[in-house]
Amino acid sequence: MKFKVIFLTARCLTIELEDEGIVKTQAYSIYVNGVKTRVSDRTVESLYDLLPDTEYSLAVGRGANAPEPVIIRTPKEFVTLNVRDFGAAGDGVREDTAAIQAAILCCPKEGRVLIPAGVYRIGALFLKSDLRLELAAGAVLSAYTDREKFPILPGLITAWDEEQEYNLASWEGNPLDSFASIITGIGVKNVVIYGQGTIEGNGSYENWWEGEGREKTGGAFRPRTIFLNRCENVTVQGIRIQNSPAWTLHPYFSNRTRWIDLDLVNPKISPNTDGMDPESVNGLEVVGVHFSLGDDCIAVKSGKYYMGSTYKVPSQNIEIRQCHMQFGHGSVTLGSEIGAGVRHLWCHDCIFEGTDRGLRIKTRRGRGKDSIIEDIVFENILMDGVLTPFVLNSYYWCCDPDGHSEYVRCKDPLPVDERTPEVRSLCFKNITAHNCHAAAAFLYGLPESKVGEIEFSNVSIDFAKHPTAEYPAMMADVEPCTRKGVMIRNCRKLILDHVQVEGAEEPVYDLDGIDEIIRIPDEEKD
Amino acid sequence: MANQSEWKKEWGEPVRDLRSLCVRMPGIVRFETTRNQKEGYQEIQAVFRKVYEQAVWMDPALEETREDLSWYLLALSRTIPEVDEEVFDHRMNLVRQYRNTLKRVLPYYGEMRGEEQERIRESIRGACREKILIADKYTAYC
Repeated sequence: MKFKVIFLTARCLTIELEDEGIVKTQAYSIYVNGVKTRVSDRTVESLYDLLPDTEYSLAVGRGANAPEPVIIRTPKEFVTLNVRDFGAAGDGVREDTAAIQAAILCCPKEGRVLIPAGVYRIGALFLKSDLRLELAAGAVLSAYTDREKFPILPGLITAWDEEQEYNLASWEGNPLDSFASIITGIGVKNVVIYGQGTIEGNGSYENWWEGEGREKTGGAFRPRTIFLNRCENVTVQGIRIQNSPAWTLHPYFSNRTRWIDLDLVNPKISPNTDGMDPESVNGLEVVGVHFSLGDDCIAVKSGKYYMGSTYKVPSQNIEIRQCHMQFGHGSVTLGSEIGAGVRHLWCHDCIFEGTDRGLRIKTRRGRGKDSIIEDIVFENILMDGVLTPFVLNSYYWCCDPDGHSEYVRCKDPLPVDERTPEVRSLCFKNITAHNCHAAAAFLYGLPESKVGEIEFSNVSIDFAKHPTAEYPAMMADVEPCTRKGVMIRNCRKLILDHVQVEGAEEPVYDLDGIDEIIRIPDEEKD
Repeated sequence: MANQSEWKKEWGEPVRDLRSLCVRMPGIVRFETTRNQKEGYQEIQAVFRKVYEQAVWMDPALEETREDLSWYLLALSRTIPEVDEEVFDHRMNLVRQYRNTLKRVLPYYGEMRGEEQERIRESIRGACREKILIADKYTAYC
């Protein structure tokens, strides 16, 4: 069996199997120094309790034959700072914020902050550069839910010249005052957070998720679990995060971040508890992450109009693979705050299960001319029980004051201007979607700014035996439906290469406003 | 509701009565924010955009422009806090108008009449409270 070591620290590593399926595979064994150490069926698997600066032989295989080992060497580690030595109690009663924060601030380069087993009550912790933060097995960072335990990060601070600005916080695409997150990084570099421990956000309908508690209360919007603002080279590996107050992971204007072998769990009914919201990021890798959530699993963003048009930083160069996405609204969503666009996103070898939508693009007139969606590729995806696998909504009506206005909802062509967004290319390859409910595909472009190209290649879609009628998209003049086939509006070039739709009501293809259609095989000639 | 929407006809092009803009617009925006689901926001932006385009051509070196400019600055300063911060670009459009106009007007502050100066001082105090100006820089006006 072939595998790669995709993550290595002085104390742990993660492997990824090659060509062994999506998310899960047949059971296999992992050998460390010739000793069978672990049996797993996951294509992305982690090993812990390694020692620094030590050589290991590593092999994976099935059956009696000893597999060929790979030799690895763990990096050096200078020193371990155990938070208990800094006064942390870990008893689930006393507050440990100050003790853990002190250990973090004292951590030298190549040092490790160790949080051993125990329950640590905390408010907000701030990262520093060159930090290795380990949450050991049995360690729980249990966050308070009292607002006074969290400092406020001002959204935008006016600079002395009154022209520049310092943006510290963000809420739903705008630079608005927010509580610092449970883990907050501001401008830090070279950070690794890893281990088998848990961050417990303690979000519930008695605190962060309660009606007014969802809104700005106590002078700020809700914290996220991890917020990285203008950070570089940060990896988060292994840990479980649950009951997040709002979005779980929010890398913001941050580059080269990696999210590996995580378990993100929020109740299906929890509000705005997206799994991950990369916003204006460049270089993002999501591997082997399990999502089970109340909102979008991954929602890629780049700000509303102000942030998008002022900074013009798109989200780009994103790879998502070997992830299992369950129960969210969208598995992978683009938008709706995409003022600076999204480019070069490759989502492959993933399972989408029971989400409302598979790919979900939410945009609208008013997002602006910098809001360009380009080179979005979905490949080798298995979907099961997804209501509508492919959705492009160019008339998204939620979350803006003018969302229901005639300007947003109008289906006639309007003049192309500064406010007009653009979708250039979407590609869906080797995708199977079983047990859909509402529609096979619902892709609705703007008439004045047609989608450049949509390609479906080797795509197979069928419907549940007893499908539920649902809205395929949140836009005006769309009613709940079921067994709707492929509906596409306003596209310059559409490629349908070996597309199968079973169980849809006639007409299976409802296409309008499409300049060129390429069908393979060409049914008309057959 | 009908009466509350009458304002849309009130300011034609050009917008002549800037005193009225200052007196009425903060309340209109408050109504739009709290009771009308911000449906009038686009029109409000359009009114301020028109005024800004006019103001760009008003030379504060000329005495006859200063009353209008001082009303305009006060209108902006009183209106900005009423704009829902979640419609951030609308708020920042007004902030930009305020900062740009103030920068042009302040060099002539000493030549202005007392009531014009008072309006500008009040607008600066409001802008400092909103943190769209750095209070340290304007102690002479506060």
